[in-house]
Amino acid sequence: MQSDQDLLARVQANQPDALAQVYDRFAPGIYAYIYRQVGVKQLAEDLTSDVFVQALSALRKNRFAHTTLTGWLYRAAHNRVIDHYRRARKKSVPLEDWMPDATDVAADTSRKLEQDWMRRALKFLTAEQQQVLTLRFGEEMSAPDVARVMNKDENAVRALQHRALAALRRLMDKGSDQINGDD
Amino acid sequence: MATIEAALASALEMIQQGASRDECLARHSEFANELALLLDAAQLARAGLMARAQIPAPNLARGRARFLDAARPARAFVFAPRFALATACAILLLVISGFGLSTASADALPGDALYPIKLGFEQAQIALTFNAESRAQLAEDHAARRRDEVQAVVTLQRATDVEFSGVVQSASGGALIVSGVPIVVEDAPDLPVGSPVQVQARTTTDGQVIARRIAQPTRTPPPFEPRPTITRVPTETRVAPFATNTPRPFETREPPFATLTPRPFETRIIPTTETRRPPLATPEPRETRVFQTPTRPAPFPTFSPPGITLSPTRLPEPTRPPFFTPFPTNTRLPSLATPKLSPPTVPPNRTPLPPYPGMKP
Repeated sequence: MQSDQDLLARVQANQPDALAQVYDRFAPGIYAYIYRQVGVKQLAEDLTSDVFVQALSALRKNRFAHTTLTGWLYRAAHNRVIDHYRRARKKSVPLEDWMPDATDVAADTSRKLEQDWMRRALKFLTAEQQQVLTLRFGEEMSAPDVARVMNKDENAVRALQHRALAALRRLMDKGSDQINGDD
Repeated sequence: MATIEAALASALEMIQQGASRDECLARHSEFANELALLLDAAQLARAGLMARAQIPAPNLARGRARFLDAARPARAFVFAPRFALATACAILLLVISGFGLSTASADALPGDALYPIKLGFEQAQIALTFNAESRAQLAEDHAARRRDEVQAVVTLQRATDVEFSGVVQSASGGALIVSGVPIVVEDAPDLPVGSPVQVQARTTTDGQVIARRIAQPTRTPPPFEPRPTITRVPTETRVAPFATNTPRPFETREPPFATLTPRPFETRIIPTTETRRPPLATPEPRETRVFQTPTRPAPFPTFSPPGITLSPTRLPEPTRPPFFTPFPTNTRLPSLATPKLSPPTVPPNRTPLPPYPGMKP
């Protein structure tokens, strides 16, 4: 698979189908990332579409000097979700069914337990802690990529990651009644 | 000096590389106890968060089409001057070379350099045809030519953008056949067989025609709908109710002899004429548009071939094909600075969370 830089170079060289490749490569991840936060499929699709339309201009002008295409898109997605909630003045929507269908019933039960508990636990973390865990473990990004998305340096991301996992660990041990908000 | 943050980051990297939990703990033995707890939390986070919502394939395709569409208008904008230049050059060369270029571009297909010139010639041809019937026939010929070009491009397995019009012959599942051209559609629109459609599509190198947009004409006239004509009617001969622009309800209620009434009876017909011609609504009709009703033979019968829409005032403009440039400078697109990260909202509605039930004592 060609790198982000190669793909960007093809886009800027006006090569046919390069834009479609950008979409095909990144849209599923951006959609999943947005869907985790909004929990409504149609809304997630619309916001994903917005992110990519917004990205056209950046793609054209190559505004990725200080970040990567991946980092840029996830940040744009994050901001788009925030804009949506700010404008709609909506509270978060429960994520009812963001698990893929599983065929193994036993494995599914165990996985569902983990996913359900984790989904609820995220609400007890700060916004940045949620984001670092989602990007690091949900999107499986490397720490440098997470740093680019969150516009932080790597040391800050390491510290944030540590605080997020420590808070999660406390939730695992004691539940929400025994802990206070931690950052 | 090593910190727990650095040890945790290192251990997580090691696990991503395939190392075991014990290997990580051995590597960072000074933090082994705390690290073990954090790695368990990381494992749960990974297990709980790795499930990704999958965007359904048709929705992904629709999103892609929307994305590519968003890039399109500016492409046309960029290309328009070139097209105008091409047309101007075409006309100049036409005069100089005695139709040489016309002949040369006649076989051009979508994607060819001469194709815009061919379209320019066709537009000029329509613009220079004054007989309405001939012009409609010409437009239909050009529409048929567009379909032939699509077939040719598909045969050549050339990937390019095409636009054509036709009639739905079959619509089932993801396949649509428009005037003999099979088209792949993501979501088959609800199109009745026989309805005229305008198709924007992209051909692929494996010979498929992928629809990007399928539009139906908003109004389809019956095949022999009489075409309104502009006729000079002397003011004295405002006789036939149908011969004026005034609203029909008044026309039908008006007695046929009303306007034939001589002056002595003028007082009796004032209400009629006043209602027929409200002071602000209808100007003195020196030149009156005459709508011929189907029951009355048209003085100049016109033939409208099916699929060609005749508007009351003018013939339809010949459709222009879309023009693409790979990179638009679109003023309508939102200007984009690097997005600034803002803190997300923390959902306030949360129910108490019990300890993780899968924890080992």
